[in-house]
Amino acid sequence: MLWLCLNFPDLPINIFSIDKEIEKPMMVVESSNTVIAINKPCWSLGIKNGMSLSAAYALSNLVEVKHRNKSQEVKKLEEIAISLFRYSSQISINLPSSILIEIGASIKLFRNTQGLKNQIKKTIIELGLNAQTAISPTPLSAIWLASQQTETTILTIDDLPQHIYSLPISAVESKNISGIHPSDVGIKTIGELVHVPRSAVTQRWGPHILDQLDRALGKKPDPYPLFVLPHRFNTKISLNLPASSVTELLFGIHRIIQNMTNYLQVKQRGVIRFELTITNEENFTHNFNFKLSVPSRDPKHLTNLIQERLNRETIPSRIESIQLKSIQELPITPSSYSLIPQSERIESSRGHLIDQLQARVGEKAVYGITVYADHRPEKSWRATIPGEQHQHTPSTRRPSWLLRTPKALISIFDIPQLRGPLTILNGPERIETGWWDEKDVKRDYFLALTQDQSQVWIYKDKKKQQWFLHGIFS
Amino acid sequence: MQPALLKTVLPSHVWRGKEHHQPNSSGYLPSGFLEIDEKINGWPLGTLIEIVPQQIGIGEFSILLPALARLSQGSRWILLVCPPYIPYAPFLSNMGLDTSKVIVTHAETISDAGWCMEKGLQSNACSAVIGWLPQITEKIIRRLQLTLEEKNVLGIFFTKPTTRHKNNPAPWRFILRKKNHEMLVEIPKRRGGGPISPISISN
Repeated sequence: MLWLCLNFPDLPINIFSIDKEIEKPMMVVESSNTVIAINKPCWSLGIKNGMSLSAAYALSNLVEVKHRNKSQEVKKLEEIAISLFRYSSQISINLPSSILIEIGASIKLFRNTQGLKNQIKKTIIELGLNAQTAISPTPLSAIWLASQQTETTILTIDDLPQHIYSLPISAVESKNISGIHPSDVGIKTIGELVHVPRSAVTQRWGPHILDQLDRALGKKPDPYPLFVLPHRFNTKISLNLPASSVTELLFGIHRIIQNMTNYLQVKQRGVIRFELTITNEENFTHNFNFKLSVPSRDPKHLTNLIQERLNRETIPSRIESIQLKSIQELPITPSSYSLIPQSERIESSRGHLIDQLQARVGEKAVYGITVYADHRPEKSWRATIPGEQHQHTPSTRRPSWLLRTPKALISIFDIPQLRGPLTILNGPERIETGWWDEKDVKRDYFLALTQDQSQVWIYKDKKKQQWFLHGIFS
Repeated sequence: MQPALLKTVLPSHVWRGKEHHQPNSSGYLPSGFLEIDEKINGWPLGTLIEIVPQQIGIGEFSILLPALARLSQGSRWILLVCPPYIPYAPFLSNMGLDTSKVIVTHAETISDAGWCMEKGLQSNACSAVIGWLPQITEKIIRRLQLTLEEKNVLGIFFTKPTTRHKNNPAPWRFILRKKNHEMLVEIPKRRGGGPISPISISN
């Protein structure tokens, strides 16, 4: 096992700054009114993490202050975890700000540890984030090292002590039972702590510290709960600036669609029904339901559909947040490309075409047509769902030869006989008409096969309860 | 000038008269009418066709049906954009058309209709895209022609005789008129060919 830990020290501020281009000085404060995260423009004003809010205000009063939003931070970590699934299936979110990835099983695929690490860092940068990384054989030591900004890589458990011992003692979480922290008695590094007899450490600070140390050095098992994909995609993002037009909304939509397609990619699924909810400043919400004809996880296609749909509708002004929910997902089998260019994937492009057209002109304005068995002309066709394979309407086949007078057939146990028993192939077709000229008939017609394989048209007279031969198919 | 010299002097995008006799690069679709197939090889594929019936209801759609019936045997769709009436399924079916391949789209504005045709031509899903767009503009025609170029798709739009485009970029134009019991097909404009006498089809 080899663990890579990604630590996101700027996470509290990252969740608030979506658009890096138009960044204003911004800082995040915790309930105790201390600054815990700042962005770059804020840093150049001289504000530092750990300052009190009043001290920060003294330096500049133009800074935007945000309160820490822990639930959004967790959401963000989940979002990152989803996009990391392509590197490993064992991912654990370690609150408050780090993610553990088991990379031992994936190294071969990415050639070497460094290659894999670079790929992961690239993914993080693409998400617009920066992370401190560390690789270590035990998860806890990886977490400790990642918080140190040293980019350490340790491959074997034997190399662990020399790196761990030089870490400051503050890395170890101590549950203060005595009110005295190890650093208060002159222990500055973990190495120094190791030289203190174990019983003394336990006596002073409880078993907690030694327990962590043993887990970090791999002397004790250290299981972490693995991150599991949520059952359905459901994410809400708030926009930095309220949007009043589709073009302004697109930036956010693009981002949220990207999240959803990442999620679907991991699940090997495509979305077939999803819901977009937009909320404006007055808390007025507007729902849009989308139904696709083929499952898709193509961000471009999905964004296009949303764009066309929104262009058709009047959307409320000053939209603050967008929520995207997947309602139904279906597995997508990755298409294999054909050698012959002719057989391009017609199936999926047909579905895409229908979705595009329906998004633009409305669901009802795009339809297929089919023949429907009805004598009334206006009812003898039906509009159908485009692309649906229609049921074949019962064939109203008529024989090529008709007997002038139907010939009565003998029947044995109600099985009509004509040169032996007949086998019914198709039917019945009820013909009941002619009541106006006093020659009304009530017959059930069947297509039947004789023993010598010729097809005949027979009927059973419902009034006389008698079988007749009426035609021959030649 | 010698032909060989011509080739070197003239840039490649200048059309040469000689090439006019070269067949349409995307091929032709048999129309099902001997008269048409003999004279112009059938309906040209991969190039935009304008059909102008002198009045509605002279069989301007029926003339396409044998060709569409053939296309409907394939796996691709036939997209009808803004037909003036409902395409009557029993009739189409009687003419040998597999109606499950027919998709009908209605659009309220000409730009939506043009967009629908363009999307149909763009995707690989359609073997024929046919639009009834009397208000079509030169810009839309140009876009459709660009999208369609060299594709294995039958692209047709119907217009009214009153519509006149000063600069109609559609490479083919058919004018249909009824004379007694015959349909007269005039082809005032076609790519790769000179003037041609009207073709009469008896039905």
